[in-house]
Amino acid sequence: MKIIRPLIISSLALGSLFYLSGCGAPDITTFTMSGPERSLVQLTGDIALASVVWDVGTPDERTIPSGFVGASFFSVPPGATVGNHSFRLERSGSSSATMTFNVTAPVPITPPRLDYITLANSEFKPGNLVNCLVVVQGANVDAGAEILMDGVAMGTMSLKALRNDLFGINPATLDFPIYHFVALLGSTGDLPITSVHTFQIRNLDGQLSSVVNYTLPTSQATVDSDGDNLPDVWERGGYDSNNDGTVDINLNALGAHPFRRDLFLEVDIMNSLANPPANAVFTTMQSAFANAPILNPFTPNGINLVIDHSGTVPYWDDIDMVAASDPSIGYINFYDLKATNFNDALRGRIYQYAIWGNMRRNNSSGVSDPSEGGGDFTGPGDDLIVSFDDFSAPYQTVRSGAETLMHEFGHNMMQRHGGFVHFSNLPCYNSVMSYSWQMRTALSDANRRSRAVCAPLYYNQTGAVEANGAVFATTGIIISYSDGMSRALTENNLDEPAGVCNGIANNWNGDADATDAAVARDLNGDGDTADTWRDYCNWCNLDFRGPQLNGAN
Amino acid sequence: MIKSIYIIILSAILLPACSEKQDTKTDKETIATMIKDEEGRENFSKAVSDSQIETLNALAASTEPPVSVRERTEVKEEQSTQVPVLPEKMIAGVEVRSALPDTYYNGAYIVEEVAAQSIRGKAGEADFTIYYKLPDVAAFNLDKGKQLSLDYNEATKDGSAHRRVVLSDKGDLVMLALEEGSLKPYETIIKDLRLSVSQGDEKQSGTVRITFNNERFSLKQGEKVLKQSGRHTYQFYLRSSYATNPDNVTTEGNPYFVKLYAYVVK
Repeated sequence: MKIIRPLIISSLALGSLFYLSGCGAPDITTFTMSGPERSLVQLTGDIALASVVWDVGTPDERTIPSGFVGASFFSVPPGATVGNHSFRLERSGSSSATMTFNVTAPVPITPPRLDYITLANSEFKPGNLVNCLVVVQGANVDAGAEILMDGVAMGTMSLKALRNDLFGINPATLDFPIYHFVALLGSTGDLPITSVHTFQIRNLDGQLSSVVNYTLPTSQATVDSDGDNLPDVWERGGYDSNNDGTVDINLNALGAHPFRRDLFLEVDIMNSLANPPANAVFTTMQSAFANAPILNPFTPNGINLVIDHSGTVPYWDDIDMVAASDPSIGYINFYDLKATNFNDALRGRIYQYAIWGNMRRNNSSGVSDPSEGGGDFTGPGDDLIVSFDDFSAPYQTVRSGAETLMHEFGHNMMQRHGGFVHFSNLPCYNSVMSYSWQMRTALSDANRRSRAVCAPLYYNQTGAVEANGAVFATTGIIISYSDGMSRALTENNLDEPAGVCNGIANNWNGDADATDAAVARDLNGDGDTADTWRDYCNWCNLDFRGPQLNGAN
Repeated sequence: MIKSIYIIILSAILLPACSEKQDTKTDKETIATMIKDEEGRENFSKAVSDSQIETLNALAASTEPPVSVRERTEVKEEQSTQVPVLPEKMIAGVEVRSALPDTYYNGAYIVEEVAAQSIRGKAGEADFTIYYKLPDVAAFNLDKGKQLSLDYNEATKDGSAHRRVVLSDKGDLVMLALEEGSLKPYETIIKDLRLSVSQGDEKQSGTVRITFNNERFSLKQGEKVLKQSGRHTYQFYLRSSYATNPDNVTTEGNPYFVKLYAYVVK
């Protein structure tokens, strides 16, 4: 019986294929017709169980790796020359028509980036052993890449893929342009429970990702397949807060799934605010998480963010997390309100808690409570305040509200203002965690000019620019954390015509033009121009432990 | 060896898709023969004999395609308000509605209408209305058409919203709203009004030292005091004086911040 569970789990993804025709000659209905070397090519049609033959009819004709369910996707082989290449599908001795794919350009070779390791199954066995199906995913991973565990390649299948939109940005202006994300599936075999193993991804060209340690689960009762710090048994069967045998929160009914990361946030809104948040604030943030570049096995991609914003708290002028409440000046300590408005016994292990208030005494738009020490975060948080109700009218928008809530929420998951650092206006950090992104559209034109960003990534629009600092007009709002793509900026060698990305010029030295090369500017105000700043992948580094580690506070 | 079993089996399960019209038993036997690993073959055969495989077809499958383009869902923008509204229970505060092309101005201001908790007028050619809620004053005694000077500046600095609104009449203060901060203890000098403000210490409930018309005094947050200057009586009200350790990385916004209001009461 040992083999049964892996079979069942695997078939979750494959069940639909039992009903596909899959017989006779495969047929391609649509496919991506051109792209650079190593492009992820997506195909539709009668492709189940088919394999891909590349460079048909040439001396280099060969079968190349494709997707888990057949020829749904493949990677243009490394080294494919610019120009037309023929390919076809084969299945059971039959072939599709031969198609032509045009390789438009060579792609500079960068190593793949390993972003996440999760589980698609864990089979616990006598002798304190466990056999796991691991899902190892990352950016610019080839279809057909291999998982290395403890330095040894395991049988690997390419499970899912996600193509990325660069919004027209010239990849050459980014240090790590992400063309696609791919999730790989492999089996660990029988290994000791709780044992720690190294994982890497090896692309088709042999390049390796960095090494990531992963600890195998301990027991069926505690296994957390998706790594959201909620055990699978809770996500399937519900959470029993007081261990009395009765489920208190039906997480599954709230959309939780053991293979998709879930986050829960309660937002209580202060009464009598002039600018209470619109529902769209919360849907904007939920969309951002749902669209996170995270490939989940057998479930939709992204992160499921559940927000309960049905509650209210009494009005106070000022709210903060430090200093005792002082009604004489209209000041309330956050935790006094939390104690009477948040059911910590019931929700504390699951939910983060937020109060959407009026203002803080230093007029900041919000604050959160990750632990800190030695000038850095030392642990995640689970509480936050949003507090810009008295800001001027330009700030009172859905975008500013969603950006601020997501910013503070990010701190609770250990995300910094500057990615690797706490510097808060880092131009090459494409994240709502940056002060240059958060509330950007409410700033003055002059402020925007002084806080350069990569506009196509901020607005999620091809061709986006801020002409003389003006807001770029969009049809709607899309917000996000960083994927970590930007070009590094060296303070003593800034290029004005190059700007932050895509050749959108930026006046680094504040003179009358944006044409200077090798400009020096102290970007972080530390008194020198000796620093080099890099982008940081927020989505790869979210810490989900806040509700567990913070108790009632 | 066991590591490869799953992959072989995963692949093998796909085969029935190509043989819907074939006998199911035959399919499974075919699959079993494809499993080269003996233990894996035995496990698979046992699963078949236990009728476990038949249940696979009934399991729900993901409806998501194995490859897709990353979604970027747009949400429609909304502006909550265009007209500042001071919350009913607010102790004190000042906001503006400005048609100025930018968020700063220093020049003439013509009063057009004075009402309880608001002054409407023109900053240059632009409409500019001040909304306020201040202790012990409802409406200012300003005539329509009166020309005042306005010093206005709103900007977000280091994560804090700074706001300065100063109305004066030929060098005499009419109303001042100062909501400003710094990375070090806050201090400012407004020469035209013969006014200086500085934070007294780094405690969170600190005091603020004020010099006005050569008179020095201190206020604690929440305190108000009357001061005479010329023919006017002014009320100074320290709404708050915030100070925290600037090295705290969890501090959002300025570690030092002062909200001070001063205005004619008679």
